[in-house]
Amino acid sequence: MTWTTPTANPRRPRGLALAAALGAVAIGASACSSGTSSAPGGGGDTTLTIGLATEAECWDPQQDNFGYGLTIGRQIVDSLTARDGNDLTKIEPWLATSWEVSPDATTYTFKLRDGVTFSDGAKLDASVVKSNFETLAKIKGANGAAFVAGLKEITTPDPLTVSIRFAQPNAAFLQATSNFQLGLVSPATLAKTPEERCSQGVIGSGPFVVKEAVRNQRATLERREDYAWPAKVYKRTGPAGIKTLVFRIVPEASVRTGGVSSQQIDVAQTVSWQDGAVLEKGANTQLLRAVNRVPAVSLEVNTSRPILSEEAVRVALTHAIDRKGLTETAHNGFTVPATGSLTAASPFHIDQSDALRYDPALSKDLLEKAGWTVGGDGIRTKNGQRLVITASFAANPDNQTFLEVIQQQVREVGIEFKLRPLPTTDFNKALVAGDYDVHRWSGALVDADALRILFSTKTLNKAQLPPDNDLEPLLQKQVGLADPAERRKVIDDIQRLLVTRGYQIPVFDMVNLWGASKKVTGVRFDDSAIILYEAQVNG
Amino acid sequence: MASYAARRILHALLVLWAAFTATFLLLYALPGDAALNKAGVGSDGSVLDPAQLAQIRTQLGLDQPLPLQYGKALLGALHGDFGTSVQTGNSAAAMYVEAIPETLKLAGAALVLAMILGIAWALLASYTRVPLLRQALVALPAAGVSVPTFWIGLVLIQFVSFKWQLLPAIGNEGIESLVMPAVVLSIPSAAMSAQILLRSLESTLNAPYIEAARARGASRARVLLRHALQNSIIPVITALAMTTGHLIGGSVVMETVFSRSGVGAVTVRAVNYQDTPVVLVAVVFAAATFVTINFLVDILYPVIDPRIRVRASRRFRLLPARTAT
Repeated sequence: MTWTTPTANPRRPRGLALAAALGAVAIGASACSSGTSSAPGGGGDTTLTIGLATEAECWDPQQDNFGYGLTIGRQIVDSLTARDGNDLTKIEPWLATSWEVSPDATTYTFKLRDGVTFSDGAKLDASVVKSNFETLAKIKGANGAAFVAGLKEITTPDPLTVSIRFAQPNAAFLQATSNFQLGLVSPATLAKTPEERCSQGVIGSGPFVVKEAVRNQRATLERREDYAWPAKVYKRTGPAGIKTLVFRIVPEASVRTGGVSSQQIDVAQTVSWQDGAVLEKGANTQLLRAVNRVPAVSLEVNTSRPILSEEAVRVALTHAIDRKGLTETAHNGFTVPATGSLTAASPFHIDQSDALRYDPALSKDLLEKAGWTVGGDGIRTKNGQRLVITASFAANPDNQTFLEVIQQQVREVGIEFKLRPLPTTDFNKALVAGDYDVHRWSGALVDADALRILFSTKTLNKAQLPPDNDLEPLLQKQVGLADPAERRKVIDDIQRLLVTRGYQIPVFDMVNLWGASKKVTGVRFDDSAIILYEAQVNG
Repeated sequence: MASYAARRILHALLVLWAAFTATFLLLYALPGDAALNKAGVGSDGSVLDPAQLAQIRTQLGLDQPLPLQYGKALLGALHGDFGTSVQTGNSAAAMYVEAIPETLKLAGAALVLAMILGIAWALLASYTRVPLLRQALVALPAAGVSVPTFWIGLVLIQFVSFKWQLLPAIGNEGIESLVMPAVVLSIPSAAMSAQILLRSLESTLNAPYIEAARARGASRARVLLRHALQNSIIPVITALAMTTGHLIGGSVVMETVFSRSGVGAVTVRAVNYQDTPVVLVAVVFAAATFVTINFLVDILYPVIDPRIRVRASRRFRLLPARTAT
């Protein structure tokens, strides 16, 4: 606002001065009204600032579709069991000290840990567990409700024993009890409506407690000094390593990355594939990988479409994809080429890399034998019909990029691969209607029962199979087998069938990238949920 | 004047109703609905179970015929009750109103900055006599209008915050977090007012009374500030009123880039989720702000420029249905 020249003697215009003064007042006033604490630095004290990509719609880990439970929710609720980070098939005690599963996998009896309290002082006992699951089963659309579907009866023989019975076998339930969706909340929370829980948040027994939350801005969590019941899988006992967690909503990916590099935030969610290498090589930064343990990111095939009803076409498509090339081109090599129906990090994974190998010659051969001959533009035809497969997907740049790579790759064998990006609601609608050739999907459930939910004709039926298909009996059988080894065999067969028959075309194992300051240690991930109980800020 | 004001108010109410109705119909016409989002994609089990979807629809009243849904929404809105947000179960109006102060701070600071920067720039350009420099000063606002603000914002963050560590890149706390977003948000409005004022000054400076002032020996600065500015400022005020729209729209972008809470963040999420009640609150609020400011400006003209007072009173006798601003 310097308005002087050497020639004229400028009289300060009164209007301008007034405007400037007003401006100063306006800015000053706004400063006063927001006079809270200044931005927390990512320093050597025991505050950890975490930049999240998006605000969760619902502040309840039992109800929310991923956003809350994976981040804030996981720090405030405990589960009955925990997954061992190293031996993936092992389920370890947490709020339950031991359990028994009936041979038909319908009844689960848990012995509860004594002395556990929620942060509002309420005690954890069998009746609280009972009403947690009974309430959850009734909440429509709740994420966690799926795990307690078919709930028949819950009994509490004594205050520390709870017995949960299902109408049908449910072999997946033990794995499910380690998920945040079945994290336990206090009776005070259970007394609220689902809507109130969403908007006000929940009270758990976890190592952290929400002190303050401002929607679309931040949530501040404080550790519980009396926390004494961590899962056995942790080395730590007693209260959490960090006193205060500040979760901030930082929608822009480049700002999250820059925030970590410039030490304005300590941990950042969803680092872009481009920024991954920058943080990995940075002097003060590190890259953390949350490897997903669920079904691989796949093309789910609608086998009821004329072209895709041909197994030869499905298998040809499988072998026409160069998965290694794809992960390098689309994800800078940060994701893992799929080697099976489930990700390699899944406790139930079997290696099927041969059935998923890149073999364009084989693809061409299969298509040729099935009567698909190359036309003038390089795309195959049969009886005047072009070999066109359309991929439907939730429109976002990430999906677009990797599907474009597939588009180029499969063209080489004479398949025209069209992309059909859809807004989320349209995509959902298309899925409900079965309106797709193939669509991009992964899973969310760590237990292999995810495959039943995805492919059974009684549930999502992703492959649009007829009711009498070869897969269905196996899908139903595994959920009724309480013996892990026996169940495992059936699950192996399911995976083989899915891939060799081309019902599912696995493409890559998803890896969520998190950025962090080098000072931060002890961050854990369970599937894609972040666990900050053992985290520490050094120096 | 009283009937003029009454007319303007009626006009304003009509605009509000139209905005409400158009938004409602638009959201209704979109494929999919909030129930699909509530049922949730991605969670493997209960997802997309048609029976459950139907239940949620009934619960949200989405299965009712359009006229009934619309009637209910309108009646509620007239009583100030926009219903509950589908996402959070909170009152839609409360959710939005909570976010207003932060946006008001940002938009207010940007408006003041836009006014100061715009006027100063135009005066500086008019005052400059070095041809090359003048040309540059005149041309720059055009660039300011066309460069996308999110880009300026991201570049600014990279340098000011990440490289030089002068200001925070994230959040709402303290005045220092307001500086960058307000400056960036003010750029298009400032550039627009500068352009308009420049053009307006150009024609004013050719007027005979300016010649007369010069002949009396007034300095260039005095001519510019005392004589030309007041007569050239009216279009700028109109432009700044129109700018409110930019500021509300722009705050959505700025809140995303600078990780601020505010109505922008609420609106974006509500639109993505097809959370009709919240979107309706957002639209009605934006329309109400726009309408109010335009109304105030209309009332303000005669105060600034006596000629309008005379003209308006004559015109209204002849053309009672004047509606354009």
